[in-house]
Amino acid sequence: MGLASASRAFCVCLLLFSTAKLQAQIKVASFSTVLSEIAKKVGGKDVVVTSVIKPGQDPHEYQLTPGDLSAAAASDLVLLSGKGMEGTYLRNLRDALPKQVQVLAVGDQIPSLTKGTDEGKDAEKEATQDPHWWNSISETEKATAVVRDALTRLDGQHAADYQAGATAHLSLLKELDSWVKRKVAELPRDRRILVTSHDAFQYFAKDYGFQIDSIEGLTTDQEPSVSHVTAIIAEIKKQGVKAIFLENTLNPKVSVEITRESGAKIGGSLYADGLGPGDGETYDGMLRHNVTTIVDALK
Amino acid sequence: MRGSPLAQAVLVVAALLLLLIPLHRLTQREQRPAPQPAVTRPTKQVHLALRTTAVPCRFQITFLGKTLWAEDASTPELAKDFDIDFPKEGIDLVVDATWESKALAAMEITLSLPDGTALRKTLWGQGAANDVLTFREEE
Repeated sequence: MGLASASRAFCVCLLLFSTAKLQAQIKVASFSTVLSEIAKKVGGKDVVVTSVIKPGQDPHEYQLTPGDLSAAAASDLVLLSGKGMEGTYLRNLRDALPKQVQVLAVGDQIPSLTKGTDEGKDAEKEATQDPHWWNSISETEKATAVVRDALTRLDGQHAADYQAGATAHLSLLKELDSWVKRKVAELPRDRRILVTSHDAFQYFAKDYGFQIDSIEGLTTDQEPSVSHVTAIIAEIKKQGVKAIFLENTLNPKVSVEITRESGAKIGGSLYADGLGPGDGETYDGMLRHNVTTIVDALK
Repeated sequence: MRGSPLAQAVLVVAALLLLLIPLHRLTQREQRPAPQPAVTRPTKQVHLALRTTAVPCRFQITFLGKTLWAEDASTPELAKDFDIDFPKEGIDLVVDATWESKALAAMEITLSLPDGTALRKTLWGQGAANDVLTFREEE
């Protein structure tokens, strides 16, 4: 066998090996920026993640596109935020995906906070669930475990790797929680009143002792009523709230009007609906940005 | 219109001046409200008592981002009084403790209010411990 034949055989072997390795990777399509990061950290080299919803994109306004549907159909696992976030396109997505693609609504695996009445039909109950679980570090820890378990079920051979990835990520989340607690402790408990553009911080409020007054509801597609805005202005004046907060994906018009009427200032812009450009490119950066902005403005 | 030009001018000026009153009121309503005055923050004398299971122990207690009490304790029990804001929502104390011994140790902090209410929290650790402890009257 000549040198040329040997080289050819080596190249073929290398190609086959690489292909086999690529085929072994689990393909994940994620409809949440936070879950994309979790899947990458837990999955490491064994997982390829396609982020369908990009950082800075408002998940409440997202519409399923044919291209995104193709990406989801080509994956092994589809990760959804859950708790009603994908309400407008969930049925279409589930109907269109091949049977072998596993769909996991991660938020549905962890306890919910609800707003308004829990009475009524299931569909109505779903509408009152707060989908913004990622604004709580403890809920994100639970989501990390859910993703780890899903990857392990799909690919048991790499279970130890997924466990190691999850453990490392959980350790970072624990450190982040400790930092958040200390930073929030700089703010007197009677000044922990968070006025935001839409109702996205209930989970955060529960963890760190805040009261929430939001201008819009759980979703971003409804304009606030005049009576609701008037009530918020009255509450800001009554409680002596120093600042209210904008969001990176929403129009600040109403918030600016409220500051004009109430005397409060704009405390800054928060990442409410997941990761975004700038400080919020990572979960750690997003939380640190939000907490620093809130505490420094309300102090 | 009858009458002298001077009287007419006086009447016009008087009418314009009368119009200024409602105009002034209307424009005043459009002004930006003054920033909210700071809410009165009642201070209370609180008594902090510390008990540690191991000495020597170095500790620091931080309140609203500032050091409230830091000491190298050589006795297992210490106490001190502080005048601090204590709203009905309670307060958070950030506690950092280090022990020379690496065995499991605990620091118990009792916060007593002027009305006799005593609120108690305990921190556990091996060599070191830190946490944010919340003291609330309704607990």
